[in-house]
Amino acid sequence: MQHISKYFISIGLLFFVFQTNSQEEVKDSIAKNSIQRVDSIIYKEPYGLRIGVDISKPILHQFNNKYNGLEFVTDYRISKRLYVAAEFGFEEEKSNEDFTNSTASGNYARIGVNYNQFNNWLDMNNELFIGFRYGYARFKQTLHSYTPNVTDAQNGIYFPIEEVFIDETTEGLNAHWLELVIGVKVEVYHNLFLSLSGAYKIIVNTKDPEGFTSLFSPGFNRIFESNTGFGFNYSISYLIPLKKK
Amino acid sequence: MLKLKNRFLSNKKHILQLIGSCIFSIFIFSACEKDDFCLDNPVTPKLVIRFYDNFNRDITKRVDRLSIFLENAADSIIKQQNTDSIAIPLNPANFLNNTTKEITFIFRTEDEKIANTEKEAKLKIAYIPQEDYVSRSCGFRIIFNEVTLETIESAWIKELNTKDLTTINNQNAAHIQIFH
Repeated sequence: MQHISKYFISIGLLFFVFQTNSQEEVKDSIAKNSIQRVDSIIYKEPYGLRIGVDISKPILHQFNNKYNGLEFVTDYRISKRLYVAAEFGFEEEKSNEDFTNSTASGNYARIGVNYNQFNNWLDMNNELFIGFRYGYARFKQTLHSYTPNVTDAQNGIYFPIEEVFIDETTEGLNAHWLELVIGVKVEVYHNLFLSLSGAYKIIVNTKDPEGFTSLFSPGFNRIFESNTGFGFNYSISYLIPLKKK
Repeated sequence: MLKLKNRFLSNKKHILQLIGSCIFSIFIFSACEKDDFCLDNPVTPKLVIRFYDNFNRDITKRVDRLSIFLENAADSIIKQQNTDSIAIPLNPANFLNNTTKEITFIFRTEDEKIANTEKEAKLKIAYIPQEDYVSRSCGFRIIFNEVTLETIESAWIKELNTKDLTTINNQNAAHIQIFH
């Protein structure tokens, strides 16, 4: 009997609702002095150096043993919408094609600007940006092996040919290119940003190995025959606030 | 003032939309790159021969039941074809040594209706094979430099015309004209 009443009292307490108000009622000073309608609160936006790392590259390396890379990203805010941005890193990729096997590896740097076209609410610092980059890479490429293409779809191969293993490395290769970048940056925690962006790239100039070509350039990604390429970036970065404006 | 600002904003939106659609279309149109598939066939050029009438040299003349063998080889490259134009592969072996390679082809023809009318011609061809890079999907091909020809036996071939044949690096035109 005692237990039953305890049970019902507990149930009753569970559904008992206190109505509270934790926020103080805002006294609208503007409404009272309607003559003075100036917003006295101006939110100052942080300006500073943002540094980070591309986390997609180590993840990609885990799933693809033909790829290895590391990239640091940085940008510096120079005006309300404009940021000077740069990335630098290292990349290595093995290209296993139908008739050639090669590896390219080296360092690269990209520099340019991001234009943020997102209109933030008060204290938000998110970005939806369009950017432009100039990229430069110095790398080496090793042609591991190749099979001369003597295939004939209609008649078959009369003189078969064996794969040639040469492991020929050409050092001192380079590539210059331009990029159009589009991406988003979200402040997930105070001063901590996640950024996702994609880039369309066009080769300006490359120094290719003699009698062969550069199939991959660090920082550029796979070089297509049309001298274009794509890249994407998923980075986490931290803003070091230097001043507020 | 507000109107002006609005107009400016919508203008900017327009520009951004334009840039956005430009990027989108670039992505769409460059999704299929031509270097994903090798469209050249064959990549390594073959020796192209055309057969002409010995008396009327502007007119092509069919060879009856033409078979082509490699000397000392059992397999025929071409077997009993009635044709006025053929493409035969050259042996690319030892292309790394930069040395002259010689191979001898036997051209055999026979009358379609009469038995035991086989006639043979032997053609020795010498060249230096060399690799040449084409593209990502096609890889390397072999081209043939310093090509020279020699007729060893010519039972039915009256004359050869090699014009100024030095390098075989395409199949656009006949490399050798044979008059018979």
